[in-house]
Amino acid sequence: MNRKKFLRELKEIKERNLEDNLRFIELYAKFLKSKNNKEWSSEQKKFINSIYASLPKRISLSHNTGK
Amino acid sequence: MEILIKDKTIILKDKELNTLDKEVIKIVNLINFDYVIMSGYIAILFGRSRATEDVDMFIEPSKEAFYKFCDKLSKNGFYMINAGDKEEAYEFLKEGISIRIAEEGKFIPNFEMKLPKKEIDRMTFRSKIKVKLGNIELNIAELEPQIAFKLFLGSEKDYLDAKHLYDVLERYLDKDKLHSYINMFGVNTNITEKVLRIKMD
Repeated sequence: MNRKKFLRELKEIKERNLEDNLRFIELYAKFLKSKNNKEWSSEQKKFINSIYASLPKRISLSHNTGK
Repeated sequence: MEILIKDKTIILKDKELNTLDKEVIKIVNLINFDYVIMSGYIAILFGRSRATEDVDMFIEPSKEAFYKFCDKLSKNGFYMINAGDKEEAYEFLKEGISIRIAEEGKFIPNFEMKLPKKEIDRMTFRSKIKVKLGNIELNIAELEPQIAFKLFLGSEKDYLDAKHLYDVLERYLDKDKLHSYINMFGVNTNITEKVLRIKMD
């Protein structure tokens, strides 16, 4: 394996990922700006709520109550 | 996205509140001292499609106000993840250590609160603005320095948050102020031009 070439390719992948994600943010910002607050926030709510809903409901760690 | 700006208040009318917004509002309703929310939650508040483990805040309470807040926390189903009691939590804050607060039985999302100790912290605290969400007002960090600070931090997540805030709120931002913060934070010109697609002179 040519390590120098390998590392250069990794760097290219990282840069490409960032560029792709920046382009996505551009498109997403255009979408947000084209919608009223109720429309875009109801989509965002579905996405964000699903993430927090997927977390464990209770943890079995004993913790402090701040009293 | 419909935004109205009145004085230093951004009005975000009719936003459907997600789980994170509701948690933030619950905590803010318990706070009886000055505070400012910064970093990732600001991008989420303005539509970024991501979650976060923690909501970062600077707080400036007197000892008495902080103790009252701690009492209210436990009565309202919250606990301090990393402090045994209110006295210890206050000592942590004074020593520059953050305290983390979450709902009973949960770690995420949590609220990471600390005192504004450094010059940039105090600057963030002083220049805060308000966002009106329905009947509630949240104190958030001013947008221009937040974007510049995200560029300074330099992870991919930070770049995307900076880009999101810039693209969504571009017409409301003070560009001269943004440029001046970007310069103040020593952000590399190439990074700014690449992420925000703006020309830096």
